[in-house]
Amino acid sequence: MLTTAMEQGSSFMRIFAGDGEGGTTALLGDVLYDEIKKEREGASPPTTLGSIFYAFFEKLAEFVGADQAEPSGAAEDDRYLRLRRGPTFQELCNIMAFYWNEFRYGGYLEKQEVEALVRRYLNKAIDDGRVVATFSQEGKRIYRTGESRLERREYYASLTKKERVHYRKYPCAKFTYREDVDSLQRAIENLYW
Amino acid sequence: MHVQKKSSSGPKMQGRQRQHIGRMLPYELDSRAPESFVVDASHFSRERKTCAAAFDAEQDFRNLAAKIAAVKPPFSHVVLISHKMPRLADALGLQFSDINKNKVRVVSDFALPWIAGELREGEPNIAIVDDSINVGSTIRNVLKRIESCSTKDMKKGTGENKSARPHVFALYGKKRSDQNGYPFFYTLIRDKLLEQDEYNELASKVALRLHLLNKPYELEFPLLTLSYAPGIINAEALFFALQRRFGETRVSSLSHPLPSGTGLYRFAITAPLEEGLHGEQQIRLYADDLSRECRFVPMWIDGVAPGPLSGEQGTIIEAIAKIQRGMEKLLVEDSSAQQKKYCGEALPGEAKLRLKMFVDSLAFALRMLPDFSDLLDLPLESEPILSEQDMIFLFGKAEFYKAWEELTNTVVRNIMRAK
Repeated sequence: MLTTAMEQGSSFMRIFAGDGEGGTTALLGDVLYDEIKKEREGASPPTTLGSIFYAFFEKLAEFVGADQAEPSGAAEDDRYLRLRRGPTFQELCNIMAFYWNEFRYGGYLEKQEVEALVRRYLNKAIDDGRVVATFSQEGKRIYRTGESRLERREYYASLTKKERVHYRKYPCAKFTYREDVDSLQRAIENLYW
Repeated sequence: MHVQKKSSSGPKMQGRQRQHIGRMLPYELDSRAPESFVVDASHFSRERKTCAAAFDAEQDFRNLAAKIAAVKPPFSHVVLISHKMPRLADALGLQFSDINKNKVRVVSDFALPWIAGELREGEPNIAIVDDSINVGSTIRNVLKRIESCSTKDMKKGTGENKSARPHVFALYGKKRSDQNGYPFFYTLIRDKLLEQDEYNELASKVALRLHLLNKPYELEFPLLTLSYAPGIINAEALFFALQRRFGETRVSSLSHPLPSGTGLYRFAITAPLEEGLHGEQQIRLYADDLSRECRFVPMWIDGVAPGPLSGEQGTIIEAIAKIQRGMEKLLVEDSSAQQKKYCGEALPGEAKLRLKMFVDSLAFALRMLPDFSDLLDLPLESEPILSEQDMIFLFGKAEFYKAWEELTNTVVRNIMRAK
């Protein structure tokens, strides 16, 4: 499915998109595709790039068997090596761009715009312990799922300017979780204060 | 906000607009001394205490450190499992030894290849520390690596020869005397295996507590301590100044979920790259309105080295490369490994990759600093610029730190003074 959309070659991309030789089923990319599609059909609230980002890392952990003590199924390696499976920054950007543009969430995003959003989500996720940067077996800098599950991770990014002012004035105030990024302009605007 | 009214808002409070000239800001910075803006220190302190108090596992971690410090004879090395434990030890100020007695070397597991020589030659007595041990694969890996560094056979470390046994400490775990053939002593604060949800909750609390440390979660990048320039009244002013300097699309705030009442802020600045390069190069700033300290963290992650430095580039690049080569010579290869593994690392050459990333990031910082020279200031002459604690966690040895600090201190001060 994704072979034409993305470059392949890394051990991670073989998990994600397959090696093109057939025989491999239940690839991470397919599972994620189906999940997002299902969610999109009954979308409430609408999906954002951020929610795809976090869904991707949750599925990645399941897929590589990060929480399994013993090797099984797709997670056949030693657990320590299993934790060295994840996308590089560019691979992650390609994956996010693919899903975003495939389902047309609120408009087309250029590559640089996807990179800016992914970089922001990565920065946040790493500092929150939700994603861990490490090296792959090929010696590339890659990202895997971390153990932390900090909540309200995205909602600040989706606040309107008025809400952001209110939040900064009353930092303890609780907001409704919002994910209604409905246009490219809004998505980009949400990167900043 | 928590400063006097005149200093409380965004860019419009930073001075009159003026013509943009070259690299200068498109407005005048406020020339009043920072002392003229009264910061409500008690409010910041109160907020920080409130946030710190929310971390209910703190006492458990302190008990863990106390147990390590109480062991006789004292440990020669304490290995903290990255990234959580080294950062948490820093955030909580954990002491792993009696300060009046032998000083223990506290490092992260990243430092093992760099201290392999002393583990091999000396009589190491090692404590390994993690927050929780569930599956045990991380501990097993660290044990293997320590064994490959040491001349002692840990598997035979039974009976009288107990000094070869590492001692594993954790908050949570299930008591086991044997970890796949590696006998070790085991001390737990709570003899309990955490369910996945419980472990995720603990990890989340740790991550939230680490926001108060105002450092990146990652250990691998140089951390330079600078301060706000006199014209920068607070982090908010710094943020808007950065947006004007680098463009709004390149500067973002990462401060959430830390309440703004703490006066701690995080910004990321994406660096403009030369044509043909792409990647995630960025500068992170960790700003503190209370101390007016700003930690400058360069991150150069691409495998391609940053372009040449301006000015005294040849001398600086040669000095950096010399330290890098000197360090690499000290790496002890595993004799059994077909590929170049250092201290039994899971993936070959990780230590060199980390060093390269550190070196590239430092070179990147030196190249970017001129763009920050009117926004950030140098610390006092006597204050180090490079963080010693982080360097020791990463590379283990004080000698490495001294070499990098000497170079960084000289170059950074020269760059910043040339503004």
